[in-house]
Amino acid sequence: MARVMVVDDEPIVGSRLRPILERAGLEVEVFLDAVAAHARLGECRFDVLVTDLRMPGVDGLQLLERALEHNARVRVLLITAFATPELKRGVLARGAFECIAKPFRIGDLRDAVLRAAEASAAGEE
Amino acid sequence: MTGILGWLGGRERSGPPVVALRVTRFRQLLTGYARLLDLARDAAVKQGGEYVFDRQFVRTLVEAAIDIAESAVFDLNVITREASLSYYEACEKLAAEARLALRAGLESLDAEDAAIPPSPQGGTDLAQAIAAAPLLYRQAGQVASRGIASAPVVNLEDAGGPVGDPRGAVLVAAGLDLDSPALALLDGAAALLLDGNSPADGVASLARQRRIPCIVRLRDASRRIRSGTVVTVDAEDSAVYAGRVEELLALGGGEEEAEYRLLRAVRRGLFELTPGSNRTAPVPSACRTLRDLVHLAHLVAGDALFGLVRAEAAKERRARAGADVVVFAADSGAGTDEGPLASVFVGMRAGGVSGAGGVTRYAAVDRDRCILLAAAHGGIDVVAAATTDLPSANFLYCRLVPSFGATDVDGWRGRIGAEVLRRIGLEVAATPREVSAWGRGMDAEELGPRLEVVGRLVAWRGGDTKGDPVGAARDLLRESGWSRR
Repeated sequence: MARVMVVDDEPIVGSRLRPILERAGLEVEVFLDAVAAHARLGECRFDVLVTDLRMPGVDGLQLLERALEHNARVRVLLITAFATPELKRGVLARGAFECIAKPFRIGDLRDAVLRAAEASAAGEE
Repeated sequence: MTGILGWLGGRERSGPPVVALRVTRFRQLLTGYARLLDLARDAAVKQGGEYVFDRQFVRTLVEAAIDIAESAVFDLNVITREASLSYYEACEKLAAEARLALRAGLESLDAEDAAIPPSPQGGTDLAQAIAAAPLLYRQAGQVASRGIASAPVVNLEDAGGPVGDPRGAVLVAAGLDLDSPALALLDGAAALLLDGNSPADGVASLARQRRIPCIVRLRDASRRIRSGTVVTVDAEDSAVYAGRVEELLALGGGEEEAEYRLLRAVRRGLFELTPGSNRTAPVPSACRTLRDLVHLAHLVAGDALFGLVRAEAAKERRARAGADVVVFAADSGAGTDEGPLASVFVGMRAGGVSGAGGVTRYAAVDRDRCILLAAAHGGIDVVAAATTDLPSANFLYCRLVPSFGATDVDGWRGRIGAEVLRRIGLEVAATPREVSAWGRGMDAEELGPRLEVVGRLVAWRGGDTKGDPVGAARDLLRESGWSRR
């Protein structure tokens, strides 16, 4: 079972995503606090990280770097209300698997997470 | 049409600069109003539950609506030559109220427990149970109201009437509107599946109010799912399964998140149209929402533009009595025999308007845009359209006086007009003072027939309504060939 970390300081994101991802057979940990998520990434390997970009304390790019440091096979999906083509290019260049604009269809995000989990399992680093 | 008169500038039909500038402003105001309606529709779709949005989305929504209202008030003041300054004050007041309500809503969200509730059940067992359930639909439609329910189906399209007890059933229908008698069955239904409709329409809103799980735009559910079939509707994940999926039902439908409640309150404050009484003329200070203000601004702007072009035409000797249409402020050499205005004229001719009939109409035209203004029954009718090669830039707008005058105290013109406009797929707002309608995002081929129907409505002089607006609307559409399309 793939392990997914969801990080967003807005509770609605975790509360909507967790049940949908669990229904898809994924093991999900949700964090409102990006600092706590940052620490957790050092303790445990996740196959997929879904994170907001702008958060207090630690931002999504710092989480991305931290996740890749500890597991080169992790796939990172950045979600943001401030998506632009430049931003998307920038985060993909830094190793993100996808950059998804908010608001998003919950089914689309679930499908993206499943693709990311497959890519992680395929083992390309 | 006969007697079309090029006015001021002859063949160039350039019109006086002041008229051309105000026509442009009026178009801007209409475009702004269309954007406000787009925002309202998009927010209603988000309310349905299929999307995850955050607080930033709600903040942006409020600011975007305020921007549109401020622009509309500015455009109105250009068109009325600063005779509508009180709209600025009303706009400031409504904007401040909207921001205050948003701030209060956000503070209330902050005060709530921000913990993520644990899932009641999860993991491999649930995923396997769902994977094993016979799937009828996944991500095929759009969630209009969240929740999970299972029950036998009552298909409302069954020949000879619905088979089975609709109470506690999953209702399936091709489509419903707020006038559908079948809507009464919604009370007590377990869930609702529709081939058509939209998460932004009134039926979806009703399903949300009654907390009935609802998926719309399933395309063929009414042909595919027979009465008596037991289904499980998962309107948390836009899926329908054959049979009961106990593991899903055990999850239940959770409480909706506070953000959805905030969005609902914000939408009400921004986008509801509260037309008030027809006994008193509407004033900006009485507007309760930004939509009220933009709506009123566009009516007043239309009236002012009509007054201006009529006054300018009166100065022009060539605008003689007997002309059907005075063309002004055209941007190019295009005439009235092509583009959207030509489609409106086709409908008007079919509706029996072959001459002026004592009414002078004023039109601004270019190759793919038009505005038609016509005195009608104590008010004015307006038709505006753009039929470019770019569907996203296209629109159809019309405004009709809702009564034939003293002989039409019940407002049949408005009632039948509204029904016709709804049936051709436009978004209709009916108030005691006018019926207005919008269509957006269609290509020119889709707009043409609709413009013909609108032309027919403009020309319509009434008839035997038999006290039935729906039947009369159907008759009018049949006569205009719409029902064959």
